[in-house]
Amino acid sequence: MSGDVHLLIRIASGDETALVEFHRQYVNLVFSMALHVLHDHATAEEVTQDVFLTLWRRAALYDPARGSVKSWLLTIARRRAIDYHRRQAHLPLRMDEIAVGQQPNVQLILPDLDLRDAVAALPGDQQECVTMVYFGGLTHTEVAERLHVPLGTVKSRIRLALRRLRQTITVFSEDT
Amino acid sequence: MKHTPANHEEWENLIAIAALEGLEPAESAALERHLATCADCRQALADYRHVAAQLDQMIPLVTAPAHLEQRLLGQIRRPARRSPLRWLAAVATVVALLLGGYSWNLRGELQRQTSALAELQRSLAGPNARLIPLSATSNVAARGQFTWTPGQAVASLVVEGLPLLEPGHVYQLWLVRKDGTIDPAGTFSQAAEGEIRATVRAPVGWSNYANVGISAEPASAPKQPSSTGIVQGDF
Ligand SMILES: [Zn+2]
Repeated sequence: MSGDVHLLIRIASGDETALVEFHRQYVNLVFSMALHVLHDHATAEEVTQDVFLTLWRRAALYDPARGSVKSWLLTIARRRAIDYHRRQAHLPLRMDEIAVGQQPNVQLILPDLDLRDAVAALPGDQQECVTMVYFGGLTHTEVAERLHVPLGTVKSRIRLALRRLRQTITVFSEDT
Repeated sequence: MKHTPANHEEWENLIAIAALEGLEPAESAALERHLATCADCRQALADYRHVAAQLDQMIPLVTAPAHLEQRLLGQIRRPARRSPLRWLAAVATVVALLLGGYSWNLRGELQRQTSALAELQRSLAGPNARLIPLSATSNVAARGQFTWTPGQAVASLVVEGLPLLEPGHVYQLWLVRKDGTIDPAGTFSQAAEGEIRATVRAPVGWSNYANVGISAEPASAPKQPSSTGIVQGDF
């Protein structure tokens, strides 16, 4: 059993030192996602706080069958940040900055160059749609409205993008 | 279920958007129904979710402000919180681990109850789970929680501190519909450590109910409560 899961069990039973240990290990990850979505330092801190408080209260909601603790935390952080953004609509949500895979000079959480290249190789309009939905928290209908393109166009852009990335990931994992 | 190619492509559109969490609610519901019948599409959704999880990891890693740790500790230490949820959470974690294929021998009792508790965990873990606190109707220390999820058949019940039963009696769980119909929803006897965990099914959907309660009844299981409830909660 992984150390993360041990920590979560201790957290679920109310062990503060386990929470501190877990926080030290993952606070940068959670904060990075919050900042990525929100582009607002103060709100990103609030989201981070909120994520760890939720974890303290409901560590039991982690299900190892569904993936690693890390990806679980990233999902929670992304969703929570999007919630905050929706509640405080004045926050800037700058699609150009939150596009994934376009920052060659920064350290990524997962330095998977193949995937980064694959994302960068996607047509710009596909990247844009994926980013607006996934990190911007918009539905595809909202994306179509904002971009002034037909709904079917948004749908097929997203499908084509994910299909391409799925192929990359499959090829990559078969190679290794 | 097989689709014509055109249809399947449309499902794939929805699946890709679903993986990015961007469907409209009505589309989500339609997709859910389709997924229940189509293994290909379930696999596609799993694949696309995997892709999405990778996107999560392609964001820039930054350093969080150091003061966040003190802030968190300050917050969790504020009230002395000891809710029934706390130990319920611990139980559910163990269940999650069992489901995850880990070997975990915390308590033999829990292992015996794996399948019931697995159901409990599933109903707990959903983002749509509704929690109903059960509080004592008289001066006893009993309390508990009833957890249900819209669209799910199984709800879970956790109660602690029920008073001792008289011989020949059982606890009876009642579900009271909005129209006043009372459905008996299971009996249980005294539990070790005064804790009761049970999974509950109802004859009609959960949204039809107004109240849930537990009373002590003769073991012959009457059709209507014959005594005042010990704990109860409102939907
Ligand atoms: Zn299908």
